[in-house]
Amino acid sequence: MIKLLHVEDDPDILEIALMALELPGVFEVKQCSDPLEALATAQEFAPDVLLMDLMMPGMSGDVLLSRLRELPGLETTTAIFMTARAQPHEIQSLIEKGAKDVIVKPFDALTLADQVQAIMERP
Amino acid sequence: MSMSADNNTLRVAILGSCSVLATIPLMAVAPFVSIPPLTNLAIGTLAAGCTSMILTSILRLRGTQSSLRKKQHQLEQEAKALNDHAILSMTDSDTRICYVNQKFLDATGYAPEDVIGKEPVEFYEKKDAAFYTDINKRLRRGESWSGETRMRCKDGSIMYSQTTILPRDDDQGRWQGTIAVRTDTTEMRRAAAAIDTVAALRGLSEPVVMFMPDSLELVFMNRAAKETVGWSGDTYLGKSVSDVPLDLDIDRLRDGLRQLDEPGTEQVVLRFMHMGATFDAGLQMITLQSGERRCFAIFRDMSGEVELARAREEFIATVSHELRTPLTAIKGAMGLLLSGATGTLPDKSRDFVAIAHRNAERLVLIVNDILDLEKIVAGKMEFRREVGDLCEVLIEAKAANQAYADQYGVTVRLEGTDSPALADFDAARILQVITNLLSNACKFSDKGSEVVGAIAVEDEVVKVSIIDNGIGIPEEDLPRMFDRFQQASNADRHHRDSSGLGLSIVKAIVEKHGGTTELSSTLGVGTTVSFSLPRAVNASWPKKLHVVAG
Repeated sequence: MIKLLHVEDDPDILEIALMALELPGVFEVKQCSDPLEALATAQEFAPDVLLMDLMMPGMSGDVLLSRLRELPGLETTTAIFMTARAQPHEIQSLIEKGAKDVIVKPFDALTLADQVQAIMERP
Repeated sequence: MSMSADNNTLRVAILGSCSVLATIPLMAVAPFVSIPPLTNLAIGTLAAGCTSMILTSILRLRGTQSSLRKKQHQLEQEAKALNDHAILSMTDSDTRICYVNQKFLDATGYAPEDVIGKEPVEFYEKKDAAFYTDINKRLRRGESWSGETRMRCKDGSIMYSQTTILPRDDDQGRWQGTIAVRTDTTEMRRAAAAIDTVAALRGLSEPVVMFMPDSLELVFMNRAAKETVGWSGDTYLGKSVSDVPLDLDIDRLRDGLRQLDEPGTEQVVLRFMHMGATFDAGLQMITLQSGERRCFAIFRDMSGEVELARAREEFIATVSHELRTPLTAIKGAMGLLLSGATGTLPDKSRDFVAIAHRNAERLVLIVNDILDLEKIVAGKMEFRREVGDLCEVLIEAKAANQAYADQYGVTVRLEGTDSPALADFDAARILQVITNLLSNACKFSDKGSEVVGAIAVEDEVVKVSIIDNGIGIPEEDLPRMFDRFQQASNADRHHRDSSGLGLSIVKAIVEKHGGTTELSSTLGVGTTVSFSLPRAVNASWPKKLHVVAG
């Protein structure tokens, strides 16, 4: 199973994404609705992939990523953002900050798991 | 100057061989030309008397000659002074130039053969020709004229001169032409214009700075520039641009100056910050008459524009996030329900979920369209156009807006949808256009009123009009209603809930179809928004249109 840490402040999207990610049965999903909670549990969970919202209260997704990168074992973990702020320059900026790719909201629930896997397998 | 004499006159000529200024009759000489015969006594007496008279006459003649020489000398000096100071020209009785002095040739750049024999009017500004014809009439009446004239020089430049023109006649009072005396005032005018220009620059509300491009030494700052940096008076003199307390990077400035040296570069704009405000410095190079170069920098406070651009960007980002986040949940939930991930749905329930899912997809399309407005305007968006019936789209749009119309208590009625109105268009985009116009019309109409959607097939276009009887738009707002983020000043934003993007999206989409938009409105009476698309005739029509994506 691929260990996936999903950080998202919207409870509805958390629920939909959980179902979508667990559909194919390849992901072990841990979800956090708060960036601080993610920082507190990430090291112990030791995810293979990070799936993060960008605009969250308290701490934006890109800041959360830079904090997670400071934790032992998470320096190179694949990071994917899910965001509605998907203008080309914004996507480019996130990739420059260490994300491997960006999934644009609204995402397709039926193909979300496939999308994440495809990004992880990409060189 | 020359002198000559014949039986009757002593001729004094000055100012060159062709001109005659003074003709003096020799009255004193005439009595001795013919002497009648007399007796010896008489001869003796007469001889004595004559001797006395002759001696007197000779002395008188010598006095006259001496006086003439003095007069000649005086005239020579006056002529020289006149020639050295003034531009002289003379015309003959046919009003053709017969004489010009060297000063004239120097000032105008013409050679004598360019001007002698020509009419003066040929050298005046064309638009002044009638004016000079009037002057000529005055001169022929014997009146002189003084005033400013404009002559065209050989190199095409204009010479301004303070001019006095006198009629010239002979000793019988017959018209001989004119003599014009000019003083070149071009430089004075230039100097006055320069003073006016500097005065205007000083009072200009935009900050203006002039400096030497190599040393960057300041040579001029207007009041606005000095106020911007907190200086006063002439304290800038002797200082450099680098001394000016602006956060303008000097290396960038020098780069800009280098760019100005490149052929075809007339202006370079540098953006910089000062006291939290954004400024643009427009640099231009000018070359003075002396050949020296100066750089002009005109500063514009761009804070308003920058803030507007930032607000627009923020607005788009907010719309993007605020709409897309709930859409993610709606679309995701519907998709999972339809996939059977939550169990098998009864057929009827599945149909309704499918409708909801399809409309969620449509919403996604519309949100994306709003965000893609920049692309539309930039010509980077693709349109899937095919020939179809606009009536179908209008009918579809009415159905799609029914709930909205009901919300505002407005009835939507269609006209002209009985016969096909063919055009080449992207059905989803035109549906978006009509939906937008219909929702606007409903939104700004009074409860119980009617909105009409009309289609008219004209010679070359198909015209769709959405007509409401709503609050109308103030006349002064009409020209900018298709601009982005603009709303009528009488629109109640809290209750009307408009983004201000609707009409600019309509205009952009219609124009991408080669069409045009029109807006007419009367305050308190209503508004008509129309768009016209080029009419199409296509044998492959009719066919089923799939307007809704998903």
